[in-house]
Amino acid sequence: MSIEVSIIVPVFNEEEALPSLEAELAEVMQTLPENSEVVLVDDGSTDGSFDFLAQIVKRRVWAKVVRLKTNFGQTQAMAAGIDEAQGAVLVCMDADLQNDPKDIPRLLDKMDMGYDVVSGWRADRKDKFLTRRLPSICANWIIGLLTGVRIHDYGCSLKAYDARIMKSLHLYSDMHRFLPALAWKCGARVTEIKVNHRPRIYGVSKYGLSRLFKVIVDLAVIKMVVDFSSRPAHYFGLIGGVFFAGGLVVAPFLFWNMMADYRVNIVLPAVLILMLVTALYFFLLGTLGDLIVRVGNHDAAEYARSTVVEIA
Amino acid sequence: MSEQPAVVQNSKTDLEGLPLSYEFDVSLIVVATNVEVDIESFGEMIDAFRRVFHESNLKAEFIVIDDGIGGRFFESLQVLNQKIPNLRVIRFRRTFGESVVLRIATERAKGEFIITNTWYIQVKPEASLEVIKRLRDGADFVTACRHPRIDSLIARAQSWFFNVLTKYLTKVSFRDLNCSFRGFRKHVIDSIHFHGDLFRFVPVLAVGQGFRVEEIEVLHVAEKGPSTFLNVSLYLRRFLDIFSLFFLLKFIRKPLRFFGLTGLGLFFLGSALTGWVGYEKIVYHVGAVDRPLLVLGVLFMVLGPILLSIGLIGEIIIFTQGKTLADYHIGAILSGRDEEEGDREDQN
Repeated sequence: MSIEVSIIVPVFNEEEALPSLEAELAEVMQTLPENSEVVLVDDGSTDGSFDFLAQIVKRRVWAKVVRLKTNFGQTQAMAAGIDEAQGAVLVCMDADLQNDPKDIPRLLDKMDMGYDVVSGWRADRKDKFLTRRLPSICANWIIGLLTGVRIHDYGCSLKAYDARIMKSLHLYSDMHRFLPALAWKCGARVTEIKVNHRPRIYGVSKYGLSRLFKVIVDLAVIKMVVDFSSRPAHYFGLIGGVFFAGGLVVAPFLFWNMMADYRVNIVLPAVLILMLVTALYFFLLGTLGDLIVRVGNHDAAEYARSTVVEIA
Repeated sequence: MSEQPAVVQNSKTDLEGLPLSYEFDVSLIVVATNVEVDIESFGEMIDAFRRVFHESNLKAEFIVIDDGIGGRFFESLQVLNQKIPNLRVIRFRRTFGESVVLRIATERAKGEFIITNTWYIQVKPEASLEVIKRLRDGADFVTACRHPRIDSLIARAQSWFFNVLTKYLTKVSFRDLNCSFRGFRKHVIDSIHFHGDLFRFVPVLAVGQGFRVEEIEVLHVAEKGPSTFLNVSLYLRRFLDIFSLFFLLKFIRKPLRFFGLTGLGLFFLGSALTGWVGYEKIVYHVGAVDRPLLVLGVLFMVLGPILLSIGLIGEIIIFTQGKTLADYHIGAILSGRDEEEGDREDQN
């Protein structure tokens, strides 16, 4: 029996929220296709979360619990959930009840309309403006600007994805925030819908204002690695070209100096050689990059292939 | 992305996906890489451990690895093999190093708990009972700290130095990583990648992967290791090991963050130096061309992007082929559907 929808919920020390979460999920599961599952990933919780999850499994057929050995972080917990999920559509959400599971059917409707990624948009956020919402607005604007995928709310955990895209991506570090942009790079059609957002009742938020700087660094990393790994020789070659051009700028000065005086100062030749050697270094590095990408099992065409419609 | 977790809730395995019954309680693994292994001390060691296991009613097997020594040593092992029940000898045609042979021996071990030891009685054999007790109580890995140590002051000082360096760089603290006497469960070795001389640091890597690692103090009986200064190349190798351990633990998933930030810093420093030279040239008409500071500035401006690009290549490797890296380790999987099927079986 193939599974249609997998709801993936990373759980980290959410003991208090779990009973309500179970009740709300149970309600939503009745409206979803019968062969759906909920993958609850316990990210090394130190409170009673795992014990409660183990009880849920005994009560609910749809529940599956994946317990990680220790706290690996949200991206890794999501990766574990994605790897273990069997559904064709993956819905990710937080366990802290700020997302409303009742929005899931609407996300799925949108998926049925032919989208590959449907992102939730907490249009009416119930968080403090200065410390939570303002940094979030800035972060979303920057991410949208740099990746070209302008959705309002990258930070919203409630999102639905086509499983084929998610399973072909290697999720590591703190990548989960940029999944819509990454998926878009793979050729996915991305859209968003407004979802309900509720104030936090249980537990404490695991984020703060310092997140903004981290988001920017993460974003720079992801942006670079996605661009460079699509065409390493091209991009490294460009950098090499800049140094080569630098060398070309220095060369006439050197030539002019040599014309004026036979005994030329060493500094200009040194800079020229440094520039040319560095240019060569980048050209070679680009070749190495091409080799790495070709050797890898990472196939950019993999997802594209699965979506091809051929009319004969 | 991670290694396949064994299916849980299946009749042959327990919650952690491990088999429920083992042929032996303990496997004692001894790796012999040194040509000067003295077969008599070796026999004594096996006997001593056998006695201890026998008195505590533990079924034990002994695995000796001949890591490319061969010759007379292998012949005398064959004699021992005849004399001692449950002694297995694994011979390698050439020396592969402790990391490789330890992994292969662990794969072949049939005991629930695995204990490694040197080829002579280095610590009191009774310590193995404490190790087994800790493993039974839920530890995944038990390392030993020889205490009080009886080897030379030089050896102790070197050992202390490397342990402190490891502790400082990795933020994981063990007092005696050089002690070969260790106990662990099989799955720890299966889910950790280590190569070269990194077998020494398996406890540190295990902590990084979320395993429960405990340290016990054991009585130091004898020492036949090196008692003088290690030679220079060994020092260098040990340093490199500790640094690669540091990278493995901290930056393997984010090389660009480390190299990129250092590279950017260097680049801005270089730009500042070059800018200063340029400023003086324009404002004070100081000749720029004959100033070494210009070379230094340009060098930094070049080194910065080079560092960054190395990090980027690392990141590309992780991004495009990292699927085979284990980013997380699963402790258990429980499934509602399995529960239901289980109930149905009960009813039948």
